[in-house]
Amino acid sequence: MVNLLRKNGRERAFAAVLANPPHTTRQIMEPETYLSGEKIEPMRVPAFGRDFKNYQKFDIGAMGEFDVAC
Amino acid sequence: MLKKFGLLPRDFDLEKLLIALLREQVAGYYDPKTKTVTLLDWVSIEEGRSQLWPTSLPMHFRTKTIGLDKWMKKGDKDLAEIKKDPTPARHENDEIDNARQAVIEGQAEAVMLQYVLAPVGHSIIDSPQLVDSMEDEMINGTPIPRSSKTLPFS
Repeated sequence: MVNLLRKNGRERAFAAVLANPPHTTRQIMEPETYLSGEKIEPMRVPAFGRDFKNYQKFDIGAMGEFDVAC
Repeated sequence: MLKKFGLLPRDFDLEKLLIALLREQVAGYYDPKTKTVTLLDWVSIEEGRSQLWPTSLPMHFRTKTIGLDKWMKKGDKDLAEIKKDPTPARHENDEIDNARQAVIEGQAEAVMLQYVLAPVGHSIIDSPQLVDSMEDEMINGTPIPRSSKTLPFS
């Protein structure tokens, strides 16, 4: 946030981000990817119902850069 | 997920641990629903004014201008609660809540740092090294966020 403020000014770092918020934690951790409008296609999830018989779903969720960075 | 990967014992109560640890660090909080700042009664007014007000006031103004509560919940329903296998688009949306929370907390942190620097004639724009060291202190001085994968202000 501070880097965004330094490089682009108050308006871009506050009101503009609220109006057009980032969608991923990658865009948070690497603000240049947000500023450049980088778009990464989500990974395709295997068709579990087709490829695995009688599987039991334990949990499901997206893992973003924040989850794997530290 | 941590249990499934064998990183935690199957019967470990992570929620209980996190609540106990995080509770130690809470001085107060802002509730966007009631638009109220609550300060715990063992925290002095001066401490609250210097640490909680600078982060709570921006949230209050955002609550009034953009509807912070709804804005923060823009992401899809928790994928684990959806019976059907989620689509790739839904997977992508799963991170929106985290990203929006980071925006609000980042803005609050920026305002707080500015509030601390202003009395000594500095700002977060002209004192990048000072800001970096303060941010390091906030993150590295708090062991919980790093170990629990929560954002520093969450």
